[in-house]
Amino acid sequence: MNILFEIVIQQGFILDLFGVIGLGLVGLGALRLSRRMDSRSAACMTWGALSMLSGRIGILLYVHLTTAAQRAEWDVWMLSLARNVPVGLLTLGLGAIAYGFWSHEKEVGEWAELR
Amino acid sequence: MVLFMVPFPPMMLASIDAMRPVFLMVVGLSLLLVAWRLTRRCSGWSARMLMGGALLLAFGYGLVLPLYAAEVIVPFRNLAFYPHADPALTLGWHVSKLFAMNGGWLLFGMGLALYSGLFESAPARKTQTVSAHP
Repeated sequence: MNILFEIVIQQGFILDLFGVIGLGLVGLGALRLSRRMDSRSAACMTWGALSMLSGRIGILLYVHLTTAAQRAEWDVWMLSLARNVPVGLLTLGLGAIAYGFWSHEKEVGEWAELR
Repeated sequence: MVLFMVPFPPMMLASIDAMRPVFLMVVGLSLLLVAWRLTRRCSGWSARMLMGGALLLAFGYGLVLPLYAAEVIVPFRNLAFYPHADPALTLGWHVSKLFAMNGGWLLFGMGLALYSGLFESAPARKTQTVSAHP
């Protein structure tokens, strides 16, 4: 199989890298927002981005660094832990990012009304 | 078409398995809505990138991931386990998922970083110069 196809599309290394960089940028931007505007909602976004980043990296490690033969030797609780914890982190982090984003937008709207 | 070959599983909307896709759909669409409301107040590249990222994420979270969770689309990695699945269609959805999710987060992150002024350097401090020879 074509090596470029395998790297870019089938394994998705480069695009996954873009996603991880983007999540890091979300976290850094939220950190900057929370320091500039002194708001709690941006801090919530930072925690969400951190949680999503760890979940994403966990999934990538699970997919790329373990083989099917290794996974067959794992116990059931290890397997379910390795599958469910990153997904739970992703879901929680997405919720936290969305809540922080919404709450930040509400704060900005309130400031715009006060002016 | 995979859409018609794989029978749609009976999925109750309130069951635990279906909670996560529904949550993802709601959150993806609310991200889009909030980004639209926020970008009415700002302009330029930060607004464009936030909006583009939110659109891609809403497509990914609102449509593609629930379709994967409902097994209407089979995962490209497990294509060998589904002999009736169309490989070309599976590959197309795989590529669109990769671009929507990863490109969406990259655009959203860039937009948020630009919006929060992450790339702006701190304003130069005005230092009072004391001349040594008055």
